[in-house]
Amino acid sequence: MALFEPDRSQYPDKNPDGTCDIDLTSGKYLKVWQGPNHPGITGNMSVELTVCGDEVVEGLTHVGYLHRGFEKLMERRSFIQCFPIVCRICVPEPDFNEYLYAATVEELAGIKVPERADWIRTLILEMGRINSYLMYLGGQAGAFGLGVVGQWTTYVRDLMLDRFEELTGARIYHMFILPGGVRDGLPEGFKERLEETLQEVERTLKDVHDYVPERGVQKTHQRCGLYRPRDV
Amino acid sequence: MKELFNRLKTHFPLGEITEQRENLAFINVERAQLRALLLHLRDVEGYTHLVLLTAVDWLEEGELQLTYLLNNRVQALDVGLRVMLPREGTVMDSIHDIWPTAETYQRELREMFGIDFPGSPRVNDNFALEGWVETPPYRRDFDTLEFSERNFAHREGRETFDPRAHMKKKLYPDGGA
Repeated sequence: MALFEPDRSQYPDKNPDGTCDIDLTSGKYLKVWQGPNHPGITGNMSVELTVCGDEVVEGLTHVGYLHRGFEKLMERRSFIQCFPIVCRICVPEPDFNEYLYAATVEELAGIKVPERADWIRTLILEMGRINSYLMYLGGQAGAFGLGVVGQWTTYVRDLMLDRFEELTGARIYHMFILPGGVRDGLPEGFKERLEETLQEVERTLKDVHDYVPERGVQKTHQRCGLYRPRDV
Repeated sequence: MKELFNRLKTHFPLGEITEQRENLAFINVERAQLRALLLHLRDVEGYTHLVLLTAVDWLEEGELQLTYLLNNRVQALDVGLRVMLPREGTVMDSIHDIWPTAETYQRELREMFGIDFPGSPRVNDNFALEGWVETPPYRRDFDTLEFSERNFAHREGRETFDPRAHMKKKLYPDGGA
């Protein structure tokens, strides 16, 4: 276990404005841009890194690459017209944004949701959660050089998207959760087909579980760079 | 949340409290009290996490509202502090030394709402926009439609519908019941 011990003794001190005066001509440091070209699934942000060997001396974030001004876009629209915007806040997992927005409108307007709709919402959010974990697993394994895991999880995620398409008519942006409830009930035979898909997901997850932790690259990076809560 | 409010009231002059839910309340405070109150909430009351720092433009009142939303992880409670500032020449004290994450929020507020936070790191750097000289775009008097029409060419052959009227016509062709 390698506990992270911050030691900046050999690097320049931070200025009051948070920057460092780093002499790039000394040959000791290297400036590297991580992103914004969507490295794996970490988001469209870029970090301007100054590194010294394996250590990051300075990291400046540039976060504007995916700032689309959703709040401003919503200003010109009615409550219901905002749904195509809120689901686009997060592409791999749009449902919880829809839910949160719908729940906000309900709270403001004092709308009560029927119990049946509440359960269908729970089902959708859980399906969305499985989807987003599948994408995360593939992306994370890809970052470790285990690209095949991404192919497995993308395959089962695709099956999950089929279920979403069946239920909501859309694969990515579902807009099924609306203020006051959901758009529709479950289609006939949906439960059985979902059960079948979930079994396939479970089989794949077992493969992932058998494969990923046994690879050397994973083992060398495990328990490396742990933080204490006070350092975070 | 009422107990927290009463405890705080013995130390600080507080404004109105809005109890949104059992685990979420908003308190109006004066700008001069904010810093001491944030430190007190963080160090004494256990509100260790700055969830967000955002602004609301009350155009008609001529004020900007800043909301500092704090979270107490142990008790699963949220409290929001609201500070009202004048809309013209808005300046607020930076809190980047209390929560370093505030730096990014303050950069965003500087660019999008035109609120200055003197002393905050990189506060005048470009955030999302580059070389913006217009009204800060999140202020409500910034008209996006007017801006688009002024800056971007109209593409021929494209029809634009008002979504509300269009959907109504599509869903209720006979005028709706």
